[in-house]
Amino acid sequence: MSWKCSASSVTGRSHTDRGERGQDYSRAGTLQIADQTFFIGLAADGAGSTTDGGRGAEIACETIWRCIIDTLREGTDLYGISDDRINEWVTASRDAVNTESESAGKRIRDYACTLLGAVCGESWAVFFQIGDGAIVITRNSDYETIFWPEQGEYANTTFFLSDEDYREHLLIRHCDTSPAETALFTDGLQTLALSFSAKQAHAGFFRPLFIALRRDPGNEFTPFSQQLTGFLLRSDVSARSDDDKTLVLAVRD
Amino acid sequence: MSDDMYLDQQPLGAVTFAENPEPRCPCLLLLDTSGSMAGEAIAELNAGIKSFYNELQGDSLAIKRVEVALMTFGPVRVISEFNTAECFFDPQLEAVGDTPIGEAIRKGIELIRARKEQYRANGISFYRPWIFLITDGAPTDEWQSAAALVREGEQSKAFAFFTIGVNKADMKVLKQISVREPVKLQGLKFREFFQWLSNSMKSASRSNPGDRIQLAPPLGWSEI
Repeated sequence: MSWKCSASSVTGRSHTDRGERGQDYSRAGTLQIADQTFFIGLAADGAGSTTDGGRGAEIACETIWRCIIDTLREGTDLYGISDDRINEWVTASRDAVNTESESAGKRIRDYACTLLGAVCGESWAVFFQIGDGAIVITRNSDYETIFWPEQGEYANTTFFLSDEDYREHLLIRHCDTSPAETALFTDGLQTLALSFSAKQAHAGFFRPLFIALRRDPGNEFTPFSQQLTGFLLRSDVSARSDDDKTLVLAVRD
Repeated sequence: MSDDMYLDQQPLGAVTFAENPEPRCPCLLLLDTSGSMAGEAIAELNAGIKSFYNELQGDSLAIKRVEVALMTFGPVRVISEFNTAECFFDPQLEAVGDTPIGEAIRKGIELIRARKEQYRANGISFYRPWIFLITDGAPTDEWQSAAALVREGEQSKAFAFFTIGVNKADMKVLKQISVREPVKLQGLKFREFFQWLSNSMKSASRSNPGDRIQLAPPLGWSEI
């Protein structure tokens, strides 16, 4: 079995207009251990009202990335990954964010970010999420959201890894099959990729992207992530959303 | 043209976007139209509302997202239900009657509650509603229960409640009604106030998750 994956995060106009850095971060890759291959995809969105949300997103993703690889290297079969273990990853990433915020003399909420994660093996997958954004997979040629975006009551509120009660908003789902296609995206793409009235993923958004990734020859000089970045910066995309945007895609043969 | 050629020529060009209703940013104005507002005050208030509508209509995002409802007292009347700026009309308010602030607040909060229900039923996301109470007098009815509802709503973040006093408004009572410090309008600077409000609503209607909506300081129209 082989995976193809790609990830891109771009800064939205609401930040570039003010000369600010983007606050999204993502990481995607495949890992071969013995005769098994895994896909790991992570995305995080630093809160717009914070000074260091983008840094929080980066620390959270990088820490959890290492935790996942360590767990897989232990030889733990994905079947054996418990909710407790995922809680440990997430707590470790929050601790890492906390350590940095303390050494910078700041509060952890200055580093507030959401978190989206997918770990897919050959016949099993786990997904987890805190806050908004969403993970979409294909199942029987239909597109399915793993969790509907966790929004607060209002359009500009959500939940963050830095929240005291982050465990209460940590959503975890195990699947006993490995999805042929997986997408993770932050809230900047939510209204383009999801239909809120029908409460479902918009197939017209995902299908062409997955097809293009499947057909990508994997040329290292023009990686697919460049196309993805170009797409996320397209004027018709930014006209619909001025927020930072992250998209992680993976397809399995 | 084959699919392959299409993709070669226009990478990822075939992607379509989901159609979604715009998130709404509701604002309720509770306006004093009692007898004491007659003359210049009501004329300036009308002119201010008109310029407020014009401002919102001139903003491509606000016109789709900001919803304004108008209620006057007394008697307590809904002049306009929650509507986006496309549907605004010149209300031409007249000053008659007394000052039933308590009843206006209770009915206003109910109007907000009903609107939220409609948003939820239709899968429309929304921002925290704002209520602005503008008066030049003191309540002529029972207002303590209304003040309790305001405190409750502020605490549960059901809405944000602001009070503006005009002329001889009883600022002491306003202070007891609103959790937030009441603001005194400088003279009859309604137009400046509504200019400030439309700017605040424009920026609120653009905020993204994690953004904290902060009102600009009330400069240019308030007595500080």
